[in-house]
Amino acid sequence: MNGWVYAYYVLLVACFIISLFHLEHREVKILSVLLGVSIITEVIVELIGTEGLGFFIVYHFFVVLEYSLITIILRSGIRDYRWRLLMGVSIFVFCFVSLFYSFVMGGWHAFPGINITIESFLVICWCLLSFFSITPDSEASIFRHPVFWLTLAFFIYFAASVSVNAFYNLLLENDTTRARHFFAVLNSLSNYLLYIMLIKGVVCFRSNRISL
Amino acid sequence: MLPVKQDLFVAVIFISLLVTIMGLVVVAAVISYKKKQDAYLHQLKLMKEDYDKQLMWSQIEMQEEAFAHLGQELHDDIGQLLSSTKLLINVTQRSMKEIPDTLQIAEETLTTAIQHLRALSKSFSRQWLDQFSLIENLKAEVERINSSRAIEVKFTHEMMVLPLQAEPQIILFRIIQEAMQNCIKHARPQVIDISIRKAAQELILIIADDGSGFDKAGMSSIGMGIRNMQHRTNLLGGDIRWEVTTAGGTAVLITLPLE
Repeated sequence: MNGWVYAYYVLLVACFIISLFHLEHREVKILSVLLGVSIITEVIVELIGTEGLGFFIVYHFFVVLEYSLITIILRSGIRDYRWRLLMGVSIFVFCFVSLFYSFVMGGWHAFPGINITIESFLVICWCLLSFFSITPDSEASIFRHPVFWLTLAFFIYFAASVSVNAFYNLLLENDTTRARHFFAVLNSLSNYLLYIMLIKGVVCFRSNRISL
Repeated sequence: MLPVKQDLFVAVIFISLLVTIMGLVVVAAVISYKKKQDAYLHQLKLMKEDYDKQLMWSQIEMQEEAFAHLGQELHDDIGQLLSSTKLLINVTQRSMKEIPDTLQIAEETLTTAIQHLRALSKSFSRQWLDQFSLIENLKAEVERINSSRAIEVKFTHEMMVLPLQAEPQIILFRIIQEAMQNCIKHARPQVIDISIRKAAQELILIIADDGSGFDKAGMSSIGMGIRNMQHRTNLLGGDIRWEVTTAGGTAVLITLPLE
């Protein structure tokens, strides 16, 4: 681990703590569960990783949980019944497909790259839907809307993940050190953006309550 | 397979492209939100206007109801008392050989008071509201004020019947009453001139006086009466403004659209 990683772990914990103060909002409640699960996963990965054991197994379950929770958060900002139904159904379908692939085809000890890519594409789709479904309920600008910041956070993170994953293997074949460095920088950057925007989103829930 | 540097270059280009696309998506989302917000705020404004109108109509209906009740009370209670008093004076006069001047004047004053009270009570009645004619009522009002001989009210009109429903006519009548009351109370005029005319698709109403005028700069701190007049005129979809006349008096100019 290096300084880059520690810094975004601090942001992750900070975001989790801030969310605990705003649990009266359903979206924040789910987000806090997601952040809690992320922290536990990171701790487990660090512990298993230092002992030299295969820690990829944790990600197989984390992906499923992460997708379910993010979809529930994004679903709360969408009013159209059909889209909401589709998102709800997608959670079960994705969980089934992802676990089936991990169990039967990919194996538990392999990195769940396919699962993460499918998850990313689905989340990007829901983010696009969420962006254009934000409904104004006051004179406040979109930048004071918590759903906007939550959506933007997930959108940037998953779009960056997909693009980095797409190039990672290609770069890895040519220059492993450079590829890993490139990946670490972009991964850290997207994580920083993710947690900063999530914090902003949670804070917007509070300011919305005050303005009302 | 591409060389390493070229791979990195492609990766950077791809990521730049991705960032641009993401930026465009966010901009499109912001524009879409802004459009929806404009529509929402417009809708909100229309709803507020509609709510204000309904509230104003309810207030006016309640006020007219109260007036009708007051008119009934004036007629049935005070009117009856005054009539009884007049009857008693008449009986007393008949029993006297010589009627004193003071009693004669008292009897005449009482007769005038009964007439005024009847006119006032009539102007508050429900029947009067249902068959309301602004021109006719304004004539009666002018006559009532003129009979006091304290000031002279002139009334000129081009039409005998206004192209308005009864309710807008009542509201307009109340605005004119308020304007005249303000004028008598604050400006102490000798003459009040009321004119109603039709120009194109508008009804123009002017209430001008030769009183002491008003401070136009001080209009920002307006009282309830003027606010009510503005509110009522807005309710009719019209416009009201106050001007200082060349003689130094006040002119209230009301413009109402006619359909």
